[in-house]
Amino acid sequence: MNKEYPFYEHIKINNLLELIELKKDDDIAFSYKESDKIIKKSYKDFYNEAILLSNYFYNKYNNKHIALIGNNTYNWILTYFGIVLSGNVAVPIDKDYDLDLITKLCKNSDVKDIYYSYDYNSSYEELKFNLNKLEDVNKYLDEGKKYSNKYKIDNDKLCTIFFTSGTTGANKGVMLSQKNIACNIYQASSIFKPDIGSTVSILPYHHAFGLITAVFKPFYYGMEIYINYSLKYIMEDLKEIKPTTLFVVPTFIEMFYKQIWKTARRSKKDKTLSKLIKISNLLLKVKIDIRKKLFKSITDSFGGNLSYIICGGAYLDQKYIDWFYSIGINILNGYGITEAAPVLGVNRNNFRKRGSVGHIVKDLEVKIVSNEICVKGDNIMLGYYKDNKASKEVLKDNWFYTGDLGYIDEDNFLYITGRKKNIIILSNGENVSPEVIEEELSHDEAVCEVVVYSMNNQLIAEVYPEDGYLGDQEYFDNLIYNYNLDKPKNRQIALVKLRNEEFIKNNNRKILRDKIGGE
Amino acid sequence: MEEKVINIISSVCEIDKKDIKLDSNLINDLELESLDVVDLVVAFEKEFNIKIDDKDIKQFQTVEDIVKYLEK
Repeated sequence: MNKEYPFYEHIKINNLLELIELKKDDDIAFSYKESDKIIKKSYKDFYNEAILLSNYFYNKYNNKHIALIGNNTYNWILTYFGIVLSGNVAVPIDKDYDLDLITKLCKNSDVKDIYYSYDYNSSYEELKFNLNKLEDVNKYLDEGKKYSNKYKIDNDKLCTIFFTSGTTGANKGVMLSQKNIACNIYQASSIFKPDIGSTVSILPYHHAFGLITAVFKPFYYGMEIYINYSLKYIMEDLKEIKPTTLFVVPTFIEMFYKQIWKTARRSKKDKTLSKLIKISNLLLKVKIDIRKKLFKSITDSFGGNLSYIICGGAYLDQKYIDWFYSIGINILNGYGITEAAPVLGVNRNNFRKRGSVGHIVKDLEVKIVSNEICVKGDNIMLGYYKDNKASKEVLKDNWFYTGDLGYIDEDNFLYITGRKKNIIILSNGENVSPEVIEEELSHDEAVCEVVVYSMNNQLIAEVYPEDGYLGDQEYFDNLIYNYNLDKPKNRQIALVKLRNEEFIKNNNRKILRDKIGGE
Repeated sequence: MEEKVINIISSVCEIDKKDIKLDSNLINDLELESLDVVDLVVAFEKEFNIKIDDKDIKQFQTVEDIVKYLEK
């Protein structure tokens, strides 16, 4: 551990009851809009309501698996706490899955009861389960007054099943205990310190990152969490709420970037913006920082108080991090995985490295086995629900094998180089991570998409060119020639194949490698 | 309606009008990201003074889907 950058000190919590007991005052915990009026709930309100709701759930269900389906709302979060604080198991499910998939996931996770948002989608009513509306929370709270919750929290017991949305195969149910979740809140807080203020919660709650990192963690810091009801209102909400910290996935960064340029082009200020960025970057080199003044109109569109954007969930191009830094917004790139509840590393407020997914969190052991990142700590899941085989493949002697390849540097910063399942093994035993090559090639302006695979023991780069380069074999032969110049023979690309259409992708816009003709 | 929709897509997404056809797929042909589509929805709401539910957004696969939805 670098002595100049010690871990931040925070109170350790062991379960989710301890989380809501930390702070029971009148500070605002949650705010949200209801018919254009902002409703505010204090930390005390939230504690009292969560306890009442847990009374209701304790009386009604005994160790049951209960699905939560709906858009981000205060009632969703409150119901989650009602379920887990009464010893039941919450099963958050993607609100946009079709009814067949919801039915399948509910059956796979032994769910009989569903709490759903009628306002979001009334067709959930067709689901053949015991249905309850999230909009009726006040009714449940009233009921809760009649009972008490005698459940004593078992930190190690299953409390939530999150479904992974992997690029291959079926969704796996990741089993987390309260200890797993509480531990990760504490771990990640050891390396990130937000500016006091508020955050706007925009990531969906059926993902560990959207719920544990983007809601529970700001709650633990004592921030105000504004719940964005719909992505349609995101820019309005940012202007109105003026958050200090945002938790996002890369798509949002790309959207913000596009929005800023679009606005600049419309007001014919895009050339000025380019120039200002260049000037500011030069001044920064000589330690003169006038970014706040120069880019005020841009940062004002995010409310004007935004200091940090924490980004995780997928690969983020360093170019965005650099660009936002130029205009005075710090993107801290991180790395997590649902099975680790979820954060493993994040770049720090004043300690960041280009290309890294950050500093490894506190109380986490990391080892690299044949390039694969393996981790051990109290945040690691109990296993996959009813899938012993898959659990055994990734959990060995309390170590979780992430399936991600990477390395750690001397300052305990983590770098990801690819996915294990994508690795190409050539006949000479040489392992090649295609993502590393793809990343390098994708920097060329003519490359729109590229996938590297092996055929007849040779590396092939298949490229979907940008407009204007379609079918230009000569250009790409030249590109590969230059790429190969400084590579060892066995890592050189033998052939570049051009496509006329883009690669087939899944719903999350990730390229389906199985659909490409490698071996 | 068709022309109005194409005008809005062209202006919001900065795509040349001639590249937007009724059967253009928003994601595959016009290369929009899911958040661009949300952006479009906001523009349609303003232009036609209507409210489009979030759950309906995923129905919008092609330009024609939007036209049909708005005509309804």
